[in-house]
Amino acid sequence: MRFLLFDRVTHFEPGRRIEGVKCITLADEALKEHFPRRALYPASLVLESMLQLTAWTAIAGHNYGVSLVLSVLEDVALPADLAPGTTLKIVGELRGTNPKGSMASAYCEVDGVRVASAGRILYAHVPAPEPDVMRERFRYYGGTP
Amino acid sequence: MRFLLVDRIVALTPDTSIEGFKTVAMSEDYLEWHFPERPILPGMLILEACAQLAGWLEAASSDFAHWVLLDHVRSARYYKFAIPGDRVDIRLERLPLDDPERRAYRAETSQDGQRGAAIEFEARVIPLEGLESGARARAAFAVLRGASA
Repeated sequence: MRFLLFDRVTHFEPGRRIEGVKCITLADEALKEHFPRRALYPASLVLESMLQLTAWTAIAGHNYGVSLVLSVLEDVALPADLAPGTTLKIVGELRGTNPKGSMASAYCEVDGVRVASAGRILYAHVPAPEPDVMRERFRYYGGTP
Repeated sequence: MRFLLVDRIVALTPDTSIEGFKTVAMSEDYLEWHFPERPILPGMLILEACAQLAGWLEAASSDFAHWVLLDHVRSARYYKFAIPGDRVDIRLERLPLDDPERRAYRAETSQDGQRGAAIEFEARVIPLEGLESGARARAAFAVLRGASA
């Protein structure tokens, strides 16, 4: 499993807001065990999609000079019954940041209906590779030609 | 990646608590991406391990009639990275909740006795039969309990 849990960035305001999409496909390996008789996309991976996408607002806000790891989560609502064929719209918003860490929130919509939200996300900053390496990762992860 | 985030169940008190662990192996493919040149077990997979342990607690407490699906995280705090070579020990207990169709849990994880994470979450109870056969679930549970050792 490639642990890249968003497929495209559709809107980006560095240091403020990011939007993207995640497609849920029956080809996803996680669905083999989750579950054998009914494919339900794991809620924990929906949350990971929100965390991965939202992190780039802070990374870009620090000129791609930091990497982020999750520290604290609060007030998270998740869908327990997402089926293959669904396209998630993900929105992440940076609420505050300093050299040591960042605070954000995020949500997901399906066809305009909110299906998931993360009220408070705290990331810790850790040393990153060279900024050019981080920019290249973002370009690749975000589906930018 | 096989989406099986519990390697062993070492203790279980029906309707009350369960203990198990997940080991972290450099060969797990998600570590290639999380992160390049710095492999760390993603916090969300620790959450998923806790949710799967909650499922096994519910299944074993209901003669494999029920499972639970995560749908709410009250809070999660991560204190220590889990990296290849670590064994993440998890203790999960059910919390009181006045709704027969839902469950609440608190999980604490540790590596070598040091606090790893503390997570409180809620989940919805659903029939196991719609997800997988009872026979298959019983067989998997036996493996997690060490039956094949």
